[in-house]
Amino acid sequence: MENILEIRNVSKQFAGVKALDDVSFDVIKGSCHCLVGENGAGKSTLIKILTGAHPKTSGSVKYEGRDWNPSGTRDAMHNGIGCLFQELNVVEKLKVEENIVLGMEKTAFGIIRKEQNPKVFEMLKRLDASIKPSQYIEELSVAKRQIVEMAKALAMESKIIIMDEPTSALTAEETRRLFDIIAELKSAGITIIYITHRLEEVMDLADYITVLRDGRHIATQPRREIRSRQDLIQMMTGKIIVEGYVPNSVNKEVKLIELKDVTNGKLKDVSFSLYQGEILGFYGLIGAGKSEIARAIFGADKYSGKIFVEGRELKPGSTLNTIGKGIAMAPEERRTQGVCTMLPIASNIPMMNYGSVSKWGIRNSGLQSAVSKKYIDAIGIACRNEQQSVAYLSGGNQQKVVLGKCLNAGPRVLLLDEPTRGVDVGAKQEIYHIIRELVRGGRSAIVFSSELPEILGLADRIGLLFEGEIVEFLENDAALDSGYIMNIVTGGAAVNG
Amino acid sequence: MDNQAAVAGKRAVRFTADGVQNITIFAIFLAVCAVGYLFEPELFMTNENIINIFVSSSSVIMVAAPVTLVLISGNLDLSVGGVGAMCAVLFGLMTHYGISIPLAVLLSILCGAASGFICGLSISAFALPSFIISLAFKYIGRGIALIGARGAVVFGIPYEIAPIGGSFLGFPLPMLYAIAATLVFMFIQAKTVFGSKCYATGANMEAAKLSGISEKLVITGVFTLSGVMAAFAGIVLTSRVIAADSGIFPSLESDCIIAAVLGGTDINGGRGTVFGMFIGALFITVLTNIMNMQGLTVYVQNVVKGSVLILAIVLNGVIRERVRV
Repeated sequence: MENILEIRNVSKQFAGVKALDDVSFDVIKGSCHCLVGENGAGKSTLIKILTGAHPKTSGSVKYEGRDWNPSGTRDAMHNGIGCLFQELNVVEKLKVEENIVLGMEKTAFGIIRKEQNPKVFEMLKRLDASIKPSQYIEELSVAKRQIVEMAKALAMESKIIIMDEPTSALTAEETRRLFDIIAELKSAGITIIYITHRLEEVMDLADYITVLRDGRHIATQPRREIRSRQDLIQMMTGKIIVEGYVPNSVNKEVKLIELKDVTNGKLKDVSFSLYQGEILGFYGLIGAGKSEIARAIFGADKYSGKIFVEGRELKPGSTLNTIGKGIAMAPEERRTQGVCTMLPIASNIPMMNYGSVSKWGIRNSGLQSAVSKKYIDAIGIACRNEQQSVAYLSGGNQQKVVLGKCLNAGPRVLLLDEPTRGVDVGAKQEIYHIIRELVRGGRSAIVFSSELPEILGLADRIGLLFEGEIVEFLENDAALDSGYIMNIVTGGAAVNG
Repeated sequence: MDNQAAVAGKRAVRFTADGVQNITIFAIFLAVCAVGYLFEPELFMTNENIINIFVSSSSVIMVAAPVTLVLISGNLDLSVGGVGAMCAVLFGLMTHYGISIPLAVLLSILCGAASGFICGLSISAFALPSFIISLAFKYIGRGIALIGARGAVVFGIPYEIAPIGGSFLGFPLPMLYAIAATLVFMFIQAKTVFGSKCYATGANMEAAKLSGISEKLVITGVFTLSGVMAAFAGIVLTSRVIAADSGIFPSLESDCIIAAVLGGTDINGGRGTVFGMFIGALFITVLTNIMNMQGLTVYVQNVVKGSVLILAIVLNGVIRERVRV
């Protein structure tokens, strides 16, 4: 058993704050090494040090026995450390083949020479034969783009491939395919460093697990020495997380929202009702139409059919009008749709309801600070103060800012599209708590999620989606069988639907 | 990072990046003034020269105030020079043909507003790049100005318009207009809901839309304001020289953007202050003033201005990187 990486006493300081504090562990060649920890635990920082994006403050890294101080990601790639970042590094407007050789084109005096490395395409074919080198990246799904990235890393003869949340946008089927590829890479002697929030994947995939917490190294253990997911969560958080569904007191007399045959490019005849005090969950794979339902109700997309709010028909296509009717949405993509990262928290909170901080169009800065502080306290946003830019908050806290913004609109119904995507375990529980508290006050919520445990832990009723249609509604009770649900959302027939 | 933030919470540093930027540009401005004083102690600090500096920068300040809002909202306005000239010529023609001065002022400003409104509406309604659309309006405006003035200058304008560009209590009115415009737009930027919406739209248009902010209203609004101020600046300049020149404001749009960027406004939107722009505009005028006194040619001055602009953008980047709040 040979160590490909030896990390010794590595620390990293950012403006006086320790992002990594004296971290030491080894990575064994040809293993799949999972890195877990809550947001802010230091995983990303460690990866950035390994790939040369940041220099380390102190400590040493040995890569194949030699001191490793890469000057940048390019240097790291050329020396065999490739990285699949969360935000994929492919150029959409280029073809697959152009992407793969991007940055290592064979040139003569700056002019690209036509003949290219055939090995690259061999590699691509082995990973996924359905991807043609002449296709444009825009035509490919996220999963296939990832495979292109991987082929690129392999083409550079990477010895270590780092994967940062590779499955966050993949369907179950695509995820299985990725795991097969990982197994194949391992057998070819390539080391995988795998970062994820999905602990099921860690339990399936890992040979070794390293847990980081608050920038410190908690443990590195072989997978077989860790008994259960619960153990892992305990190591990550230092506290035990109880996940469990608590039924809400639903008032079946009052329909807050009713959809009748809502249809658009992505949806087919979607009809359902949301009752007062209810948490309704929608579960389906990526592309099943979850976000589209949320966006149609919220007025962000066009549709045919009717949507009623408390019995009155909703004017389609106006988010401002929908907010006025007491509906707020926390969108799917937090950073691109949810918050203005460059602005302070206090500027983000009132975005849906400037009336709460102004009179006659004139803002009251004192009131704005007070309102923001109220939500910072009420939903526990960890920040320096309300003037801190949202960019410097962790994913979980950014999501809480989005929730604060929605709550400040005073909604009767909250639409939550992937409310805990990319959020750490602790913050997840806090967000669930916020949602349950909201509903307890006589309001309702619809949760759209591609994580089944989340839906099972929250929703009173669960709508299963497949290709833009509601296949079946299930009451959330102990009799629910996750195998049955998986069958439905992957296109299997419903028994009583 | 939760825990980092909690630790950092104990340090009560309250400076925002905008604040640091304003202080920095102000310090640099004072330094340049000091240099000017050292070079020409007899000339530089005289009342005459100071007022001269204000008057020279007045057009830029008046127009750059709304242009700063346009930049904050994530757009570029390259039309102000052309639109200003168009409205100036229109004003000159109307007064020349005997339309009463207040009505001429009003109509001319309405014309600027309409031009800005259409410009902003076409940008927002069709999601087109503001760079190209406002460039088109620059050509349209300049073209109409040239047609109106038959390629030259409209003379024969009644002397009664002179008070518009005259003085009040010994202060030249253009200077007072510039200060008033700065104060009004500082208020809009910092204190109104509309100002907040400009920041939100510029910082993340998608998030702004999904929060019920109408980006159409914001973009149309800022361009309308910029059209109004361009027209007003055109009227003031025409009144100062009692002639409506179709060639005025040859580089107003770039001067406005330079002033805003020197003052810390982010060319990509979401950041910036009108106050910073004010200091930025004065800074560039003082620099020109000093170079004039030293007898540097316009050619050299252009090189210096360009270099200063690059330095300003680099400095902005450094401040944004260092001051993380």
